[in-house]
Amino acid sequence: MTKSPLDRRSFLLGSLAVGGSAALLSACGMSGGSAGSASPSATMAAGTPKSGGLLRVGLGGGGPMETADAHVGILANSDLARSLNLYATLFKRDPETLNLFPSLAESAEPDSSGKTWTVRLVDGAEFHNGKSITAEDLIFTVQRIFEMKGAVAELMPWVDPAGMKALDARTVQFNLKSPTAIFTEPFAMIASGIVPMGYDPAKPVGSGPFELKSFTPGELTSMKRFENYFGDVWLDELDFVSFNDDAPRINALLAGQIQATEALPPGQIAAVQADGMMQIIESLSGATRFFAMAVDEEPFTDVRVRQAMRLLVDRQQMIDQALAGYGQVGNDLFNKYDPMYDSALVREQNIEEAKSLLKSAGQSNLTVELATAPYIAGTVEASQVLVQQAKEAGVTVNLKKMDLPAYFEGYGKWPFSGDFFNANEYFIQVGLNQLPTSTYNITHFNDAEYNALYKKGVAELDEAKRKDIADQMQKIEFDRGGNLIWTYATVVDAVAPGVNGFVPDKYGLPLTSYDFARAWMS
Amino acid sequence: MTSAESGLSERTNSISNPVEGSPRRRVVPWWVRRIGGGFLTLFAVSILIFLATQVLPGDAAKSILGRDATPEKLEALRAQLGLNRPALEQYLDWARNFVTGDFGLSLVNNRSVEELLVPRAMNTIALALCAIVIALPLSILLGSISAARRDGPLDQGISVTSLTFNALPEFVIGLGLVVLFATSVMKIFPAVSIFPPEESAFSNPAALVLPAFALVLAISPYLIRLVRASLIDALDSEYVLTARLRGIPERRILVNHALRNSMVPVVHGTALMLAYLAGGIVVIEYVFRFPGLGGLLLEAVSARDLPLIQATALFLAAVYVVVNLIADLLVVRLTPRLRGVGA
Repeated sequence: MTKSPLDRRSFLLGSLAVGGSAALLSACGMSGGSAGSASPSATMAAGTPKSGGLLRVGLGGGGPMETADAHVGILANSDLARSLNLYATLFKRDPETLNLFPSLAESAEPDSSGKTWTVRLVDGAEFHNGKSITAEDLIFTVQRIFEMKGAVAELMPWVDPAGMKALDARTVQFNLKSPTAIFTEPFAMIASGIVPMGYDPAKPVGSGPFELKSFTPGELTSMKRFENYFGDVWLDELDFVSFNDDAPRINALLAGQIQATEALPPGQIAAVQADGMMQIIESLSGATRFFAMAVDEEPFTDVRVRQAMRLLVDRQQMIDQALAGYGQVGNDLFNKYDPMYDSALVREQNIEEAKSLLKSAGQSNLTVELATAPYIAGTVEASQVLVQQAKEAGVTVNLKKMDLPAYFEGYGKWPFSGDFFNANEYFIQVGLNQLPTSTYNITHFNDAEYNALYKKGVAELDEAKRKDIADQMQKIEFDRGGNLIWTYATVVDAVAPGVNGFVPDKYGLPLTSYDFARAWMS
Repeated sequence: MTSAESGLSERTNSISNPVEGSPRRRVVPWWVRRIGGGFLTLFAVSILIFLATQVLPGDAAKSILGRDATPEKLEALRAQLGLNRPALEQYLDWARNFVTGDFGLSLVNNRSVEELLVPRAMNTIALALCAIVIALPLSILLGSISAARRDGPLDQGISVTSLTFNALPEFVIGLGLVVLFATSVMKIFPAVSIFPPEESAFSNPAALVLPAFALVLAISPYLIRLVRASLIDALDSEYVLTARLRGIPERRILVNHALRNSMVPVVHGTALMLAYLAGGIVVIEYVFRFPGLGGLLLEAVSARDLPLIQATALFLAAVYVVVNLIADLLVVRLTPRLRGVGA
């Protein structure tokens, strides 16, 4: 079509050279190192991609609740995968570096204060219904995201749904409520897909690499290549098969009924390897799995209790037992692959210190209740490991194990529970679950110093200064936060022989963040 | 065996009840009253299900929003789904629509309950029929052989084999078949069912093979033992002794006299198995990713999707009632002394 991602990137770099704005570079997440690397699909996949074929992918399903809406109800993995393939987003994330690069956007530039951002769409891009993608569609999409109160809306509190202006057919000026340096990040998130004006979720039209043929929630999604996609797509057809259970999903792969499946349960990886034919894609990621202590609920109001809980965990053992070793040790901080990540802060098990902290807090015979549910693979198992490990420090952890609706009924209210996130950019992550306004702030963390730092950091266009602020914030989380982040998960996918194009992805979403535009069959 | 026999005696009692009933009640044939009773049962079931869903923590709005369930969003969605109305009003609304044939919309994906239920029901019927059509003749054959060759090596072989399959959990049988015929040993049949939405199990016979096979293995042991025990009873009876003394060949005694008379518990056992196949095969559905009713009910419950739970559970209850009614009608046909009772 018009421009490949590489072309848009060189265009952006060209505009950088002219403008000489370091802010743009950092704002778009393109550090010098990554800017030079070519498109991942061009370098990583073996052989030359060729067109054709039907790829059937087995995914964790969401039953009758599955949706094809671009902006709501993203719960099951099949929802994520549908969203990412039916709808194009303004930016995409490089699986290796986690840096953003423009996708449906050609560029996004801030003014010197970061209060006004100008987004330019690629030329000639179309929706599945043949209509050109215009500035009006972008404005409509952002307004719909806010109307639907989608999760992405909360990640861009600076965007004023009434403050957007079309400068020409493919340029939109965003007059923000407050300046920001991370304007582009939410536009790379799932559920930020661009939809045409008058979008009807019952007949989903997007501009992603695949268009919908049919969709039966909880069962089967059939798509075909969108011929006028603005980038490369190799597959003729793409099917998502939803599974409620892991064993049949893996059996379907071994029987050849599906050619790819995601996130093998740790206990089943060996069985798939034993088959000998399947290609295993192992992705070390910055995605977190963690326990969360509500800092305003007894006994966790006492910071010594929180720190004691963090100190008594043997993280490597937890990973070995709950995840069959597929994970990296977590340090109570988010996304170890983020440029903002402070690797100087390391948490090690220290039972003695935990005991003495509990003693000084008058909690030597501490008993707590941990709410758990299978919200992601390995969490219930990890909770059981925690019960064992806590005993060593004299802490009794009682498990309250539930099904998902029961768990979510109390989500945000449990004094001690758990959660998970993908490898988000630091300030995005803070917006997701560390601020008093965050939907997912299940630790009820509300620290005045921390909040003030966030406010400063999120508007700081200078990357070095922003990193300095992020370091201070992470120190606060490390010293007095409520998250017990025990692992950065390793995602293991399996694809059949002859299916190519997938690469390890640090973001934590399976199958190279469900980027099926890059997949091809040989 | 004892449970099946006591079940039988209860049922025969309920059939012969009209004889003892008051003259006024005798005017209404027993099966008409059974149908009336069936509707009452369904009504009671619907109330029970509703109460049960009220007790469960979480509701459909919570399920839809998951961890995005902020109080404002929850409030808005509950209002939209009508979940914030009083419980009684919700139930009466649902019941009023249900009796007029409007099963309502699924709370979680806004599609009509019928649209979700009917294809799943068709799939389950296809699978259950396949299983019973194979399992029933097979069980009668093996059960008869066992009874005729009582305590011989053939009988013992059949008993041990069927007890083994009876002891294995269904998912073990299912996964064993997958390993043997779909993944590791041979790749002959599909491991899971993947139908395009416009198709059903009827148009994908290959997908039915392994789940039906697993169900045959799961239900046959029960039926074989039922046939064997019932046939042994019949073979020990006085009329068989009389027939033998009259010099009627053993094979004719077995087929024409004993087997026919031992069919009553088998009919009830088959009815029980059919009802079980309609709703109780969730495990098999999961192992083979078979889109049937059991899985639908589970999904509906975990989504707290009340209209879908109600319709699915009532459908299953109705299957139970109807299958048992048909079994009783058959029993009346098979048992001459019951014919004409209450008619």
